[in-house]
Parts: sequence; C-alpha cells; structure tokens
Amino acid sequence: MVDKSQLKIPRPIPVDLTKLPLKLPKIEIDYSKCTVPFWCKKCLQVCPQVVFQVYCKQLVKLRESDPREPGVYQVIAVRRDKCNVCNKCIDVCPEDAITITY
Amino acid sequence: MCVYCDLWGDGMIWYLNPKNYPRHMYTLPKKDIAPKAAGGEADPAGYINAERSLVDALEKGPEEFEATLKLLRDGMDLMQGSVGGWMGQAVPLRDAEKMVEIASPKGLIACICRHHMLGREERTRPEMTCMGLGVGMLKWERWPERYKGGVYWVSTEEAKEWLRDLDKKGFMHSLMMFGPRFIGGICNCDYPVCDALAMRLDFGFNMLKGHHVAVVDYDLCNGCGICAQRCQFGALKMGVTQDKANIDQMRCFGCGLCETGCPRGAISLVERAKLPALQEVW
Repeated sequence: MVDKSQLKIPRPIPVDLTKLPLKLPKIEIDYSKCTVPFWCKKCLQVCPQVVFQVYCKQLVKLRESDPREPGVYQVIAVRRDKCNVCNKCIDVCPEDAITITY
Repeated sequence: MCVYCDLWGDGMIWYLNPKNYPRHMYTLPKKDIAPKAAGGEADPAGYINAERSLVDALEKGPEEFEATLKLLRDGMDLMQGSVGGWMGQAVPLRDAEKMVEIASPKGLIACICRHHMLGREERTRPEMTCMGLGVGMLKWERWPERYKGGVYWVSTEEAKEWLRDLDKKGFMHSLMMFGPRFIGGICNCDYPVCDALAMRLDFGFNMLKGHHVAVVDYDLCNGCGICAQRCQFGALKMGVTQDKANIDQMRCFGCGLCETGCPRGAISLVERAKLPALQEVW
C-alpha cells in the first residue's frame, strides 16, 4: 500500500477562500413528483452549467433497475455553485418538481 | 518531478512502465492491491455526495471548506474511505497510443460521468467514449447489465484509430487509475461533463497535469484559431495584438489537443521537466 506521507501532490485550490461563505441558489426537487428522472432527463440535458446529476438508488448486485420504474433513480442538484438561476430546468420540467430560491 | 513517477516510475514515465498495468497487478499478493476497486463497481452516490459536501461547504465558510477539501483529497489520493473515486493524469494522444500498445486486453466501455451527469447511456460501440484496460474487463463482458452496457473488445490498431477519432472530435485524453498505481483505462473527456476534470478545475483535486506543455512556433502560426476552440483549460487564446495563438503554460495541462488540431504543425509539446519553473506545477 502507499504510504500517506509519500503522496504529497501540490495542487492549487482554485477557490478564493477570502470570498467564502458564498451565497448559492437553493435548488429543491420534489421527489413525490419527480419519480422517473433517468427516463425523463430533461433537466439534465437542458442545464447549461451541468448542475444536476442522476444516480440509481437501488443497486441490486451492482445492477441498475429499470429507469421507468418510479422511485429507483434520483436527480440531485450537485453543482449549485455553477447555477446561474436561468430557470430553464423549471420551464422544461414536466412535473413542476423543481423550485429555485436565491 | 511527477509524484507518480517518483513512486512507481522506475526511472521512466510511470504510465509507460508495464509494471503499472493490471496484468502485473494480478501477479501480486492481495494485500498489495487496492482495498476496493472503483470503476463499474463504484457506487456513484458516494462520489456525488462528496461533490455535494464540497459545494455545501462553500456556503459555510473558509475553514469548513478547507477541512472538507482536505478530507476528500486525502481519501481520494489513497482511494480509501467512502469516497471511492479515481485519480488520473492528462496524457497526450501520442502517449495514449503507447499505452494501448502496452496494455491488454482492451475494451470500449460506457462513460460513467456522462451516465450520471447527462443521463446518457452509451449502449453501442460508436457512442462509447471510454476505454477499459486489463483482464478486469472480462467481468464487464460477462455481466453487461451490471456494468452498464458491457464491453466491445478492440485490437491495438483499432484502439489507436478510435483514440485518433475521438481526438479529432476534441476529446481530451486522460488515464484513470483503479486503486493506487494500476492504470485501469483511458478517459476521453471534456469540461464540464467530465467529473474528474470539473473537480480538478473548480476545486483542485483528483487529476494531475500531464508530462508536457504546449509551445507555439510563431513563424508557422497563421492565427486560424482552431486550437483555441479545442483547449479545455482556458490556457490557449488568440493573442489579438500578434494575431497568433497564445498559450499560458502555467495553465496548460499538456493534453496535446491543440497540437493535434493545428493544421500547420505550429504547436508542439515540450517536456515539462525541461522548464525549471514548471517542474513542480502539476
């Protein structure tokens, strides 16, 4: 195994620490409305900043379930620091499940 | 000196050292191999939660952000903890071609980043943008539904042609590691859909810069601007005053996309180690 002290990789932090804490938009997704995100994936494809990510909640022996089955996949707003509140995802969502407050 | 070369290079560039490929990994006792492999077996929720905790820490304050970043970096560098994840390094096309000569077997697989960032399923061979190396790919063939589409085996020549095709489209090549030391595949990414690239450029961890930096020959450059469209890192722009390409070598990752895209051969890659101020810029 690798010794922890050996792996000193000098990578810079591109974030300006003096400007923290940042004010980020809050993106809430109503999971009672958004049930088949991997089948719909409209918000994933419309977002210019790639804020959303989708993953499978139910892995059975690492196998992903049917994307059409409700509640199996979940979409999360991960990169909220990138969101510019253009509200395109709200317009495109067929279930009106997304709310953004800033 | 590159950290990985220092540890595993044995005097050469570490990813051209056959000892760092999975074929060698399977000859080692189990205790010397990574505790848990990433790749198709990794739970994407772990990686997504790591990313989300970083963004949440941005809202809290500088101390919390630094603490979260340190925790994740340490976990990521050692491939331990709940994060799983992967490490990588940018490689130019010529080195990627050398890598597929060393590694065997090789198979085209679906990209996991595009799977959870865009919901894209790469089920057929022309769509696939990722290459897995080593006999671990046999599992992907055996259980295609488990590994999201399975694997298409390719020969060395086919692999090179596929790499050149993706390079022409403007994908940046990088290697990925499943566990410390062993090279598991060649990613072909672009910002911001590539998770590894986005995390490196926005938060500064995970992927290392390559062993080269690009330089422009001003006599040959005619200012067509093709290279500026291909740079993923904001390192290359068209210098308005001179009407020629201008490269910020401090930002350059050495991926070589500008070099392969240049129709006049005006851009070339030089070794990072030969430029004293860039030797420690990774």
